[in-house]
Amino acid sequence: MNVWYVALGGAIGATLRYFFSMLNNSLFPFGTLAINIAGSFLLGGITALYMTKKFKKEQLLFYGTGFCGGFTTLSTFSKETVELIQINAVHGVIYVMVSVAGGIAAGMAGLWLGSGKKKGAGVWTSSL
Amino acid sequence: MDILFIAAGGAAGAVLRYAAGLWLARKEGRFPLGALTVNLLGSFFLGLLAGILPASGQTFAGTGLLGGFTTFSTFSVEAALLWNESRLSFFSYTGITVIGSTALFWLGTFL
Repeated sequence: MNVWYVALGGAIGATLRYFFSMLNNSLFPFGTLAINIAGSFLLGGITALYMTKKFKKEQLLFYGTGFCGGFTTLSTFSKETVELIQINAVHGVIYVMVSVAGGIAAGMAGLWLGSGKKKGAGVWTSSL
Repeated sequence: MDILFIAAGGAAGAVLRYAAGLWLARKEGRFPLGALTVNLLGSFFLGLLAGILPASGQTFAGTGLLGGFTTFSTFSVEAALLWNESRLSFFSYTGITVIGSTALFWLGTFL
């Protein structure tokens, strides 16, 4: 049964990513960047809700593993990084820095908000 | 039509990632190997496919399957959690993920 929550969430997330990817242009992949940062924030919140027992396992699987996992992408990020570096190395480095720092900061913000703004909300071992 | 391929690919990719995560389940205080493995593998295969598949195949396999298989959000949240556990693990995890996946994508385009 768990597999179906993941599959449905993944299908919805991937489809939504397809629409957002239209924001990408040849200069900078703004669509992927927005997707990855927004998805990281959401997953942080979902993880915190699960850790604090406000979310059931099924909700973590549908919204987190399925939707956020299918919505965000690391393979396209790698592809875009290589393509950007080949055109303009500075753009490539900026893309990596903004994606990684932005994604992790968004994940931390989501964890903090989802845990009810508890201090040290990041100390749980994740079960993602 | 593309949408159906992407939805199907995304569903299959997410399920494969879930299976990999169960198989490489993270133990307390250990490195998040599940997300690392899917992200490295998925980036390599995307590079591999970029050269061989026609555009329609890339929609299913690239945007759908491998896009759904790899995940940036789990990478971010695992990194955010590692930050408080061990700075060494944090920097090795983010470094290996970012440098490894771009290098593997690049390598895949040559094969």
